[in-house]
Amino acid sequence: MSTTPASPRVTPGTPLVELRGVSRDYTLPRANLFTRPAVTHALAPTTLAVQSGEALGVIGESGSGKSTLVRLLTALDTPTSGEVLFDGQVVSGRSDASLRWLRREVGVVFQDPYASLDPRMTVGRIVAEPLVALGVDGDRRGRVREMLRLLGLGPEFGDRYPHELSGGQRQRVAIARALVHRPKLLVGDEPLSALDVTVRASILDLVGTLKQDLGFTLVLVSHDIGVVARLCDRVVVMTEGEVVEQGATDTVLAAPQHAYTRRLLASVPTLD
Amino acid sequence: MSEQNPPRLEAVPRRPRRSPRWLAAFVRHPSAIYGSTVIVLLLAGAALSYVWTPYDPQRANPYDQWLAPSFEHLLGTDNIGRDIFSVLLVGARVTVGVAVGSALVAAVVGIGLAALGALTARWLREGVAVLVDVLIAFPTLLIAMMLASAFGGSLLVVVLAVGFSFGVNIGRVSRPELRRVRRADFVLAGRAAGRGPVRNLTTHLLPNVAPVFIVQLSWAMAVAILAEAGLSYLGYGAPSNTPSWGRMLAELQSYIGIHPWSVLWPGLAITLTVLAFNLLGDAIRDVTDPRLTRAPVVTA
Repeated sequence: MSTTPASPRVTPGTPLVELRGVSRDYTLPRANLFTRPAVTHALAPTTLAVQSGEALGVIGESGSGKSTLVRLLTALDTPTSGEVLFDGQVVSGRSDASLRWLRREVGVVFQDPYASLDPRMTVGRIVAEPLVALGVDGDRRGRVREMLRLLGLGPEFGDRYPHELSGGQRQRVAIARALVHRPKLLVGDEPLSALDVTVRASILDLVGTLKQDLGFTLVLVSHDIGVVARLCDRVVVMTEGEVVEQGATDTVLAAPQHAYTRRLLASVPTLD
Repeated sequence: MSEQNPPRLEAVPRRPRRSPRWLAAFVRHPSAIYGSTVIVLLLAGAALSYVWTPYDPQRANPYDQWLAPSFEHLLGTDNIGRDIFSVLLVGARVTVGVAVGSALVAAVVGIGLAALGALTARWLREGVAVLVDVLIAFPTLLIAMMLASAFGGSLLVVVLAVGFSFGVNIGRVSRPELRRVRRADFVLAGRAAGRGPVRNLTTHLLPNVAPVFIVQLSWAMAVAILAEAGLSYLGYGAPSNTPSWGRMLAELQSYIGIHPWSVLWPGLAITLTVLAFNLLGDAIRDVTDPRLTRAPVVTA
């Protein structure tokens, strides 16, 4: 509701994504008939904003609620309480059918490139999926080829199957799929943790370059401080489903306030 | 991989589409060749029996009992002088009907139970899982006997009994597989890419669980043929005026010590057909899986 007529699509000041007191509990199956089902709190009520154009890193060890956060952020899961806003519009608790516009604006890269690519589809079909599913017109084949090229994969990869690719190549395919429809937001759920160190570095640089060229907002979830420090302007530190610290990457890494962050930093083996 | 210049993009041939990959793999798969050959022969034999058989399969001829195979009677004659080849041809109708009918019933029951047990709300799918565990305790024979005592023995009883009990089996076996694929990241990725629930089901879920159903259903057909033989033997299946391989086996086996030739034919027909359905199911599973038909391309 901006009053200036020449306002861009994203109203200045409105965060691209906003979590307002969002929490998520999971009910586990009953252990036996006479006990109450146990409930785990995957995410404590969290308030968080992602500004348009920034690169936000989410750090935390496994089990700290990072993946839950990713699913809520991308409206792939429904929060127990609170609401998620994208571009100022509530997206949590909405049906998939009414969220097609959101899918157009968001690309997701999952953690395990061995599990996130359909083994029965060729790379070409996998990368084209968002274009097909969202009904994006135009030269889909050309866009897929262009996207593969940007990720350093030749056009011959289009006819290959996931099992014919290395881990690094698969993750490049997954990134191509997440970016082929030119979303405003790219969310990576530990996208590099399944890869070995050298591959990790090259893909990391690639994502940095792509961010500059394509101009998307980045949310990168990782347990690896090095990855986050290299790409992200701002970090959020999570433990046991709670955000314990957030701020500019340099500040947080140089002067961590929370005990957990200090522990996390101390545990990193230094390379220099 | 070092293409920087855009023109290189256009230089790629539009699409070198060969004949479908699975078809090429199918004709090179030994099990597929054997299975489809036998099944085509079976279908042809059953169809042929409607228009022509060498002799009337129902006509008893007391002068021609126990003839050895010859040009006049290709597979010889049986205890009352019927031409065994003619009876086999007509019996193939029952075999085809029972196999297809049972597989259809099993598919409906099995896929229905698996889908209810894997894709629905937790209370419903847990309930269905318990129900399946209870139903699986009923043996095929018991179901057939229950149906036969209510409706009389017929081929429909065989089809329903085998289809139902095998369908329960399929539901049980494929439920975890369906759950596993449903929770796979690539299904979630499909949702993230903007697929609606139905399209996601048809593009990602079905193709990845279909092999389990194909193998199970081909097995169901094989089991149905055996069960028809067994149930007809016990008198719950084909009525006595309907020739079937199971009935032939039942009638001829008492003479096995004196005239072993004659029992061989229905036994052989059942064995080869059952094997054919099993192997064809395996072959279809193999050729539709790109991981099995395409060796990994070695990349530096």
